[in-house]
Amino acid sequence: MLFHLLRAWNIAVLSAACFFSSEVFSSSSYFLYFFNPESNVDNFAMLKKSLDEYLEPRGRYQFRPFDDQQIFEKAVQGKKDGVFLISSWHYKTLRKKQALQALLVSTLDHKSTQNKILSAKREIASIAQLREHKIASAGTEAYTRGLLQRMLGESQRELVNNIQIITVPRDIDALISVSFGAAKAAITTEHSLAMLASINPVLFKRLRVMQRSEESLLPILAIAVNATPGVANLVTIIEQMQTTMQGKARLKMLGIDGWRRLSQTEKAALGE
Amino acid sequence: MSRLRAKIFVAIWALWVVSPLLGGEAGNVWVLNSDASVSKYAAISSAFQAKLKGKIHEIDLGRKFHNESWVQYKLAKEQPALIFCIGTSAYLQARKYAKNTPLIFALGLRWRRMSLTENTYVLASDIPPAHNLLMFSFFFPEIKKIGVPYGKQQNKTWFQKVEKEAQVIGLEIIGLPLSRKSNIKSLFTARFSEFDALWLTADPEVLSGKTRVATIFKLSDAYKKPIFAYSPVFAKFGAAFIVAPDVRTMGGQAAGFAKNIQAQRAMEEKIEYPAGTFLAINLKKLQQYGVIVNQRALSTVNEYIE
Repeated sequence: MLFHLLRAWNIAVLSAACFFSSEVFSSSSYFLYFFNPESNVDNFAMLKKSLDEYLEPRGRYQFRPFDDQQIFEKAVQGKKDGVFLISSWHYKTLRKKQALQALLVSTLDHKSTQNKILSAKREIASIAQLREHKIASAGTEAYTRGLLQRMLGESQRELVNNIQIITVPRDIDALISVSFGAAKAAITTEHSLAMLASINPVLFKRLRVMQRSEESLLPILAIAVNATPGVANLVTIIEQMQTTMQGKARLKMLGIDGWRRLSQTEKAALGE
Repeated sequence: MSRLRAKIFVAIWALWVVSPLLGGEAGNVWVLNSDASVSKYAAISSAFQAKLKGKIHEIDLGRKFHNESWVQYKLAKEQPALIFCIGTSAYLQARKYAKNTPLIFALGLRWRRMSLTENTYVLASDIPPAHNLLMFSFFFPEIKKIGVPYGKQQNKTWFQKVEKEAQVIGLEIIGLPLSRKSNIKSLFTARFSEFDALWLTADPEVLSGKTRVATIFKLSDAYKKPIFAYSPVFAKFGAAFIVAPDVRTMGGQAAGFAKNIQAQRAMEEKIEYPAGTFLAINLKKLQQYGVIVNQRALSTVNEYIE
């Protein structure tokens, strides 16, 4: 009898030890790292709260947003415990600094690409007239100048350096500010311009499209090439966000509405 | 020798204690802040300084030592090339003691009724009415009629302008002229059926007292009419949607004024309106009232009111 009791006790203790050790010593946290200079997300507290509320019940996952490129790159350097949600142009530069693989591309209205549009008041007939004037943009100043440079070409470098950039919270603010004179022009997505056309055709007609950027992919979801095995679960959870109402609501806060796997052509375009 | 060292130490220590009282290092650009402990004043100052860079000297009038005589003394001594005045108190002191200096004035609620110097550049505190109306139509495409209470003594002209702008956007504005003595309950109750939503603007004749404000919100709730307000302070009263100026954008715009002044560029306008907005939404209230929200617009919201 005593022998059996002792055996049962040993089994119970060993089982408890295995359970707790697996919980405490082998569970790790995984992170969704986010940086997107194309959008002026300034209320990270709300975004973080909302995404953490979604992720935490599904495991030891957290959302980590950044609003500075250097700080972001320093924070994610060598990180294998996370998933990175970044703009496609940033992915191309970041993958030169650390081994990454792109897995998913965001979608919006079933499209995975976007164009940026430089639109101005109708009376602005040429780009040269924008010299020393204001251009409104929801992206950071550094991103906006780089984008303008790519759109207008090397010959316009001096003009781009002499343009003032007003950073506004959202594309619709940028477009409205042109209409009311706070800026002479705005850089927005084509999608936002189309939205203005649908909500207010009169205001839309007051604008003229000056330049269109090359098509680029929407934000990319990537992981480190040698990511820890647990990261795959987080990728699945993020991919499935588009299938639930709660997940869709969070995707909307990020300015997208879904994901899909990258095609080979798209991977090649990213330099993979 | 040890006495000499002690004297040097005391002298250095005394300088370290006293120098903040003298305002620290002189700067070519001043930020004169009515009270840096007010969060929006601090935010606009921070955004301004981040955009402008270079030598900027901030004076916080909320600090005890920075009284009017001290400000007068420092202005005369340092003669800044330009002053960014945050809030009315800051502007009034700058106007009094540095009237020939270029002044950028922001977050002064009643700037229109103030006497401004020739060298003043204003960042208005209010979003242009048409910007508000566009946001309403962007977020709530099925709302076509908006009730607007306004002070009949002072804001009739403003209202007439808003009416015209609303027509261009495809909205109808229903005016509710009132005075401080108007009976809010009977006025609103008779007219709630005429509009889909109520728009509260910064009109002192309308918002004359907490009780009145509470009555407006209570009535709107009873009649299931969402209130669109101009400031986050109304979130706790029950505002369904808030369109307020984005203070960080304003700081950037003020820096734009400063850069133009420093480069001696002619400026077309001496008054600018906030180019960016802060948006807050109460989805629960809108759902209770049966208001349809443009789901695509939700990605642009700054805050969800709970």
